[in-house]
Amino acid sequence: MLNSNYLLVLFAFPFLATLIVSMVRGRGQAVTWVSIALALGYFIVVLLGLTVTELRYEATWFLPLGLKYGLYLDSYAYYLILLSSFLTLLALFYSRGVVEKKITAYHALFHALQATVVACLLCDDLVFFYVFWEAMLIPMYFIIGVWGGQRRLYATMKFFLYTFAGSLFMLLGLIAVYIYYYKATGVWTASFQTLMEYFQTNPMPVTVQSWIFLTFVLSFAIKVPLFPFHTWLPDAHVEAPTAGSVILAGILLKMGTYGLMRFAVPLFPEAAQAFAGPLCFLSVVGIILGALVAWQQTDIKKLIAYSSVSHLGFVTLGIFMMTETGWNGAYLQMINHGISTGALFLLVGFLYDQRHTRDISAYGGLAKILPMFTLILVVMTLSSVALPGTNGFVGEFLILLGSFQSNTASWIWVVLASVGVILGVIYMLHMIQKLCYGKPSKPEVETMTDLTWKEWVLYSPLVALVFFMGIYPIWFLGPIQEKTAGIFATIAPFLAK
Amino acid sequence: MFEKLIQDSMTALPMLHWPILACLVLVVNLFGRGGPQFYLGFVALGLIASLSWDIAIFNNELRETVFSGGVVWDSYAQVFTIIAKAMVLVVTLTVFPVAGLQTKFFKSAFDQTAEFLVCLLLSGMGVSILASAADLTSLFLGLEIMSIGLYCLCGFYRADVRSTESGFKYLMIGAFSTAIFLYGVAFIYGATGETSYALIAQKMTTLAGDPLVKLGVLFTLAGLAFKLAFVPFHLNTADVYEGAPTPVTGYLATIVKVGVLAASLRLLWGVLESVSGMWISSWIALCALSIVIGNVVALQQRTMKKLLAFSSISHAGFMGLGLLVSNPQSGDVFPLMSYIIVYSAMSLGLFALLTYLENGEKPLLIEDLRGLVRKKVWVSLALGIFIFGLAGIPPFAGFMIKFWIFQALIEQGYWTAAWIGVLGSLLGAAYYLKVLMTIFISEEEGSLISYAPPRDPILSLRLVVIAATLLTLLGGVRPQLYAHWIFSTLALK
Repeated sequence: MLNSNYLLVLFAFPFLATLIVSMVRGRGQAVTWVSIALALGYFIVVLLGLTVTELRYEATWFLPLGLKYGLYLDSYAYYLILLSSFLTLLALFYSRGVVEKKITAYHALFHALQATVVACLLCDDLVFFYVFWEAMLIPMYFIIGVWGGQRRLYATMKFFLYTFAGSLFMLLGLIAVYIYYYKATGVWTASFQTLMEYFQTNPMPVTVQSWIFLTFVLSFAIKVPLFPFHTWLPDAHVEAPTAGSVILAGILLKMGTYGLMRFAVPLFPEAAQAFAGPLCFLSVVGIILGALVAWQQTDIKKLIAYSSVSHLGFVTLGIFMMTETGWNGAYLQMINHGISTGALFLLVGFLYDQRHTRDISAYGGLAKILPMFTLILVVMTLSSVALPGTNGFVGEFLILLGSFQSNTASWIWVVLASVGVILGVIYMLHMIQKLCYGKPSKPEVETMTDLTWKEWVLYSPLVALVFFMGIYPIWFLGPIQEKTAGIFATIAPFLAK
Repeated sequence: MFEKLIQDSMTALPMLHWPILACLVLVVNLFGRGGPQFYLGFVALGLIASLSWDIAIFNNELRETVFSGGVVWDSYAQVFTIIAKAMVLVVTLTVFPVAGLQTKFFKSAFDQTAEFLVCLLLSGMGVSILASAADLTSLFLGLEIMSIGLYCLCGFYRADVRSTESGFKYLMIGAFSTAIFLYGVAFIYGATGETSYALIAQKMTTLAGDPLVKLGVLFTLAGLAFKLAFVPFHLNTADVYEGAPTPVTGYLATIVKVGVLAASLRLLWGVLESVSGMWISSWIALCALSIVIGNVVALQQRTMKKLLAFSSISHAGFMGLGLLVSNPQSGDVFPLMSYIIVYSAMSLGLFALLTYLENGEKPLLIEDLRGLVRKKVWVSLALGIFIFGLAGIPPFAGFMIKFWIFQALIEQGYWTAAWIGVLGSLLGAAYYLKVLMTIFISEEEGSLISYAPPRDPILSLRLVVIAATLLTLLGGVRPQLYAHWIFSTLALK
């Protein structure tokens, strides 16, 4: 069986990978292959932990104030780490031959991003968590800023400042929890597990909870992004390089929803219950508005970016409806969105690399010219619009089911959210229709080439996952359900009956 | 009589290392004909010897009042003297690369290297006096000794009109602020009839509502705020920083603030604690204004040194908040001390790199750094680490020091100050990122190529930058590195 040393490996591997990649010298593709090999190695290391249910590791970090290098792994963290290592591997593989500029730095930054994301997911100590939460911004800042598109300076600045602003408020909230615990018990600790256990029997006063909860939610909501904090996302996505978009949509956004599920709600259940109504409302607005705006886009990347706003709205709806079913759906939907949106961004990258435009009207008739590409695109689109049999369906269905069961907010909101599902179908099929059917808009489209072995390697695991998770979801849901049940057992007394 | 003087001198010997070394430089200069490198090396070695001495005899139990009650030689005085010496050593090492330049501009200036070093050392002595003052007169003396050396240092490039302007403006502000400070001291003396800290503190307890004391505290505070360049007493700070030789600017941005903070720590918490109602809210307001306005104005700067001038104003605000939450009686000064140490390391490292990058004849614009990463990778990386550190972004040490400050503020219930600190950090991130963007991301060829130093950084500069980088990196990941030192020397006695 794996012991807590496995956690150390899990934690340290990407940091070492960053170091190794940045030290590789040599011309050509040497760096790329080393980097891909390391990403593959890490993916395998992560897979080894598939049977793990719970692991802990603890070491002193800063004794006078009780801060610890506490690591904690459970299924909530595990599947996101798995997703992260998987998508990073694909993103790096995709970049082979596509990214020409400063290859070493590019690969090193992706590994650094992976390192901070994994560290963030594994951290048990809130302060330690916060350190990586913000450190995560640095690699992404450079990835968008150096390898991005025309308006990358504006986009990367906006991305950084928006998320940084949210984080700083969370910092105050976090310190407040930490000091609250010290004043109550006389012990300095920021360990999440300890705090959870304590607050379960000695809940904070609701007003204190509410203030702190709001600072946490602000930070996480900007990351998700929840309406009305979503305006940085389309800019960042459009300007980011393809691999950057994949990681941004696939993993970084999930950190926000993960933060809500892991920290914000379990630590402050009463406040969460009190604010759940308005937050559900914002989620529904995000779902509908994101879908409507996506419908109007002519830039494919922007369309997918706004569809992310809409999809993540479902996830936050599932969370703030405060039912177990909703949470399982929300977690599953996080993974689903990572797979389908990650794949869609890769597919857009495939088009862009050949034609250097993301304008929908610059294509058309791809079904005849690129039949295999169209096939994959349609599968991913169907997953994204939640067709039964694909993974998207299971997630959205559970979220809506959980929301109907909930007493938190009126069922009308759920009906409106369901309208979002239909809008989703409309704008995605609209995109397919414009891209793949009709006549090619320009003669250049005719000369495009279809998928090569490289693309097949990229897309086949994604397609397999779409169906596997759609047909046999219990494989993922099992461990998640257990974890959710555990969380609800502790927060249930504080929820609305 | 003399016996007592000699005995006192032996106790406070680390402080006297400054004038001894300065006199040695003058004597050597009288006979010797060494070049600038010789004097710099001489002083650097002298400072290293003196530092080793201080650390070897460091004794945190020691607490003696010497020189007729003017100076108290305790753990704070020793620690601040060690910090000041380390920083002056860094400044000395930073001067090496420019002093060796054979361009007309630098050559004419560094004919007087010995004078430069004497001013630097004597000014450092002022810092030691400030940190150990136990009497209003010695506090005043410390402020003046520190400043007089600095007036000369700011105007050191006599051929350069900006440097002359800097020296002159600093002299004017200095004269003005000294007058105000002295005015405040006079009121306090008038109300209590004492100049000794201990005696004033005794009498203060019964004088809480006295208008004379109020005026005295107000003016004293204003005088200190001038020296710390707190908003709204930051007049001309940017011009002073801009015109002064870059290593001196580094000195102004760090050591001066450290010295004055050390003095304020003793004065505010040691003497005026019983009337803290009179100054706490004004102090918070000064810090808050410095943090917000310093950062807002920094957003609009085009030259690196002016940007750092305003950034140092905002950092002074943070250090001021660190002072607010300190309690020297119980030894609880950890947030302030860690901020001082880490901020100084990052700033001095940054100024060392600027010294290396500029050519002295025209101010270094942010634009000049465009695309630097493609020409000087290591220099850019070090710059990046310092700038991320100053912006307070983890995992660098700059984050941890802000964290301690926020933590202490919230613990003591200063929520408003904490919110303003957060706002300031956010504003700060914006302009620091702008610089980073210019260095790492901007594509177009910049003007740097026209005068970028063709040589690699020399050894002394490398030492400074590597040491500062290590502290910035490791201090964020393993704060114990410096924290244990602070805890074991100051708090846990």
